[in-house]
Order: sequence, then C-alpha cells, then structure tokens
Amino acid sequence: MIDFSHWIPPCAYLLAGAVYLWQILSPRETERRWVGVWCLGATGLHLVQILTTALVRQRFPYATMWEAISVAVAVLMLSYILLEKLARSEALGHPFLFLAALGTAFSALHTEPAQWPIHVQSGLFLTHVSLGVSGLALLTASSLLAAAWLWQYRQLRTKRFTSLSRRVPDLVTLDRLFLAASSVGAVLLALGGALGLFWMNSWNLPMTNATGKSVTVIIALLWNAAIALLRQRGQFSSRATAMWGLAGIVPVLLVLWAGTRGL
Amino acid sequence: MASERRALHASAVGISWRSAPSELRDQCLLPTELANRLMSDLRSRGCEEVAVLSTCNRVEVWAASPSPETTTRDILDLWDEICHPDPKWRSAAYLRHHEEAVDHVFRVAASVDSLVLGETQIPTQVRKAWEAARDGGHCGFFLGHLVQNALVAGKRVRTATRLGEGALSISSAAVDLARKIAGNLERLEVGIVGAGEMAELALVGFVRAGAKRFVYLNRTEANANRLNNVHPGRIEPLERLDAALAECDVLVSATGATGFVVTPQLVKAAMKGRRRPIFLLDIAAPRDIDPLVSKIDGVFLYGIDDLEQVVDKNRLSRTQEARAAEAIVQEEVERFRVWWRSLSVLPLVAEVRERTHAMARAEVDRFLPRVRNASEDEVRSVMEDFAQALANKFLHQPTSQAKRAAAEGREPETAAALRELFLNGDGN
Repeated sequence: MIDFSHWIPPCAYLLAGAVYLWQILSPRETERRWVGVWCLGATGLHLVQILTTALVRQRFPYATMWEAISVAVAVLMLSYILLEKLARSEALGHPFLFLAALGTAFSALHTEPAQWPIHVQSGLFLTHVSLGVSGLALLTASSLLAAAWLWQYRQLRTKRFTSLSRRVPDLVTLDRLFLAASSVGAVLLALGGALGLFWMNSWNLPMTNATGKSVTVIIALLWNAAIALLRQRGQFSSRATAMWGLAGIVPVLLVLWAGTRGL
Repeated sequence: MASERRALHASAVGISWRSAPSELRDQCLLPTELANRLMSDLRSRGCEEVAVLSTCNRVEVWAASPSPETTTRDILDLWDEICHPDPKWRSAAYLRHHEEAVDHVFRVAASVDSLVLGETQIPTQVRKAWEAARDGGHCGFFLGHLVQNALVAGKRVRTATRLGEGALSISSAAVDLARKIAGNLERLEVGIVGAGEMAELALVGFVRAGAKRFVYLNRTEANANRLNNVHPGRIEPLERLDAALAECDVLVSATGATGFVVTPQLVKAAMKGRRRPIFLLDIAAPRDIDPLVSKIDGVFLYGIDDLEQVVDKNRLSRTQEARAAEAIVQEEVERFRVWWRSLSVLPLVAEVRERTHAMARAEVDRFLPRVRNASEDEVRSVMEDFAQALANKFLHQPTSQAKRAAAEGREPETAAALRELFLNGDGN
C-alpha cells in the first residue's frame, strides 16, 4: 500500500520553491511579501512527517540510505534557514528547495517495511547515520553556495549588477559560508563513517559490505580536504576554489548512490 | 460630547521640488518657531487641527477643519504674513482638499512623491512633524489618524516593494559594488590614488558608508595630507602602489596622469599573493587603470561609465517599483476613507441617540407613578405597557415618514433604508 504521507515533504518543498520562483519572476507591479515563511512551513511539515513515521514504526527513520536521504534533506533545509539569517538573503532559496523536493521525492519512492533488525536501532548506528546525513547535507549546501558564488562573480565581472545580484549575498560572505559548510560537512562525514565501521565491527558484520560506501566517503573527504589545502596556495584563486566546491556535489552523489545500492 | 464633534475635512497646502525652485522653497521654509506661530494663528481662526512638514524638498501645512476652503485661504494668508516670500510663491503652491489632501499626505509619507523615489528620511520627517504638532496641542484624533495610517502605508511600501533599492548616485553605486565584491566596509582597506577633487569625493563617499581603513598614495605627501585631514589614514608614496594593490580590498584611482598608473603587470603580481578579490575603481580622466586589468582573475574593474549605467538601471527599476508602491498607497488610502466616511455620520448618530434617550427618560417619568405601591403582577403589566409605549414612540417618526415617502413615490429607497436600519438587510 502506498504511504501518501511520504509525499507531503516533496510537495511542500515544491510549493515553497514555486513561491520563491514566483517572487523572483513576478511582475514588478505585484506586491512582494516575505516568502521565508513558506520555507519554514515546508521544513516544519517535513520534520513532522519524519517524527510521525518514527513514532508509527517505533524507530528512527534511518534503516536505509533512502530513508536517511529524507533526514539529510531536513538537515539541509535547517542549514538553509540558518543561512538565510547569516547571509540576510532569501535569494538562495530556489536551488535548496528544488533539491529538497527532489531528494524527498526519491526517498518517498523507496519506502521501507516497518520492521527492522535490532542492531539497526542501536544508539551507535543512530549516531553514525545522524553524523553522516548531516555531513552530506552540509557538503550539498557547500556545493550550492559555491554555485551561488560563481554566479555572483560572473554577474559582477560582466557588470550586470541586477536586482537579483543585489539580493544574493556578497562574494566574501558566500566564500566564507561555502568553506565553513565544506569543512564542517567533511568533519561530520568523517566521524559518521568512522562510527559506521566501528558499529559494523561491534555487531560482527562483514566489513566487505561497506567497501563501496567507504571508498565513496573517502573520495568525498579527499575532495573537500583538497579545497582547504588548495586555499592555502597563493595561486589558487577564490574562483578556482568555488569551481572545485561546485564539483564537490559529484562525490556526495557517489556516496548516496553507493548507500542506496547497499554497496 | 459626540454631538459636539463637527465633521472634519482634510486640506494640504504646500510647495515642493515639483512646483518650485529651491530659492523659492527656501523663502517659504518654516523652521520650528515659525511653524508654531503659523499653527497657533491658524487654530485661532477656526482650524481644529494642523501640522507643518518642513524639509529641504518640501514645505507643507496639513490641516483638518469643517471648512477646508476657508482654512486653505487662511494658510496662504498666514504664510505670507510670516515668511514674506516672493509673490510668485502663490502660483507655485498646491492646494489639496478632502480626499485629494488625504491622498497627498499618504503619497508624501510613502516617499512616492519624493525627489528621490523611495528615500528613507521622509517617514522620520513626517513623524517628527506630527509629534511636534501633537506636543504643541495642535493635532488631535483626525490628523493623528491620518499621519499614523500614512506612515503605515509607507512602511508597507518599504517592505513589500523595492522602491528604495539601488543607489542613485555615482558614489553610493561605488559603495554598493564595493560591498558586494569585498564585503563589510568596516573591515576593508581602501586605497586612494591621487589627491584631487574626485579622490576626495570618493573618500567622503566611503567614509560616510562606514569604511574606516584608508591608504593614501600620492607623489607629493603634502597633497596626500589633505585627504588625511578629511579622514585619518596611512600615507604612502606612489612607488608603493604594488604593495597597496596586494593589501587593499578596494583601490580608487583618480590621478591627473596622462598614462596608465595601474598596469596589468602590477596587478598580476599583486594578485599572486592574495586569495580574495579586489575592486578597482577608475574615476580619472583620462583613465588611470589599463582596461586589460579586468581580464585578471579576481579583479573587478569599474569606471565612471559603468557606475553611471548602474545608476541608470536603478533609477529605471525604482520607477517601475513606484507603480507597485502607488497601488499599496491607494489601498491604504481607501482604508482611511472608510474610517473617514464613518466619521461623517457620527454627529447624526449622536443626535439620534440623544433624542431616543430623552424619549425613554420621558416615558420613565410617565410610567413611574403607576409602579409605586404596585403588586408584582401590576408591575409586570406596567412594564409591558411601558415597553409598548416606548417602541411605539421610537417607531412613530420612522414609520410615518416611511409612509409619506412611499406615498410620494419614493417607495424603493424607503423600503431599502428600513430593511437596512431595522431588519439587518433582510425582509421582503
């Protein structure tokens, strides 16, 4: 039987994204209102849906990577709400909201049976997944911020100082937030990965089960470590760092791909 | 008390950037003392409420009185007596009455009638004008309500539109760009090459916007000292330009040199050691910075023409936003009008209530002797008679007038009025 509650978050994010888009594209005669409430509302609904699922199934919704993606999206959106406050800008809402809609839709397509083995419900496993999904969410946010940096850079270089570029945060703020999201995300992912291996060992699960996932996590970590290291080099400009950061979405997708395939 | 309240009408008389040149406006200025005199004199002539708004772009008197036309004449005469402006001022002054005056006050407070569309000072000036009038006892419920609602409209315009967005002067456009490229101005190091008039203008613009750290580069230290007196900073010889390029976040060049002062080689070398972008602003004529510099990664080169384009776009954008702002203002004006229209029947309502209460008192006096020493059943009977008599008396006038109106052929409107007043809009 199809559980329709899983489709509430993607619909809510899509609606909020459409409102954000409408705000940007609306004719100038239309009155603008604060659209952040839509983002807050969609994230709130998503959190309620996660909580309800957890209560109904009497476990955290972390049993598979598909379920964890939904939680990762919630963390991503919470980090975006924080970002709106830090950067004092609503103009970054679109990529975050549409990505959230996509992530939760994929998650909804792959709902899992209610009962799961006891070791999956252990505290260690929950910590491993919490840290992992938070890390992945922040690395995704870092890629989106890098994209925003590149867009703003191009606008200012080509002297197209439009209304939208006025609302997107300045280059220094975007650079700072992108690097912060990348560094914190990498640390969380590393901790999550290490705890995952420790959890497997403590339940005597074969390590070969996690080979694919471990490799992709290591690639993602190396990718983000390279950002921090290259920033220390004089010749490596902010633009090159941002391009590297934008491409960082590829290892994140690899981790998700490996996780969802159970590799 | 309510019956004593007379119906008030708004009037606005003024002179602004739209109607008069600054010399004439200056002659009509009403500083606090003169404004107080005008308000007191006007009130002694029968005007109930008055406020004076006096800014560099407009001087206006807003009033509330039973007869706005008379008040307008009084305002013009008093203004003449107090300021003695050039007689031409009368033809430049605008006179607004009733709804036009309300509309005008809202547009002024919402900054859609300002010289610089969406300017942010006008709401504060309007609020201060109203507070001064209120504290002097010249302003009551009508103008208070009008100004408060106009300020609410202004706030809505500012939050719901982008009317105040985008710089409208070259210096503020430069400051906006510096913020977008290099971040918070307080933390930035701004280098100024040259010490002429343009350099000083740029310096003042950045100081006003909050920049604190400056480096002055010039061939002669004495000239650089002039800038240092405007705002203290570090003085360096022009030979240290390479070091300044490596350190500064913003570099403004405004020398009188005939060749390029900032070359691609110089900038390339400077960019090797830095990991953040640099904003180069060339406001010299002829240009100081080689345009090829803009090809270097992380370098944002803008000239006077570029800034002028930014300003033009912003001006256009504000004009487009003004339509949205006008729509909001009209909505708020309509809201005020609803309240205002309800005021017009207040004296009539008060009179109807007064008469009805008098009628009730007379009936009480008529029935009171009948309840003295009466039994419970008798009191009940008297009460029923009293209620019947009161209802008959109350309805006598409307029903006989309704019958007469119907006999005269005004049946539909009379029936509609009866339904509206007594049947809550229902009934056949």
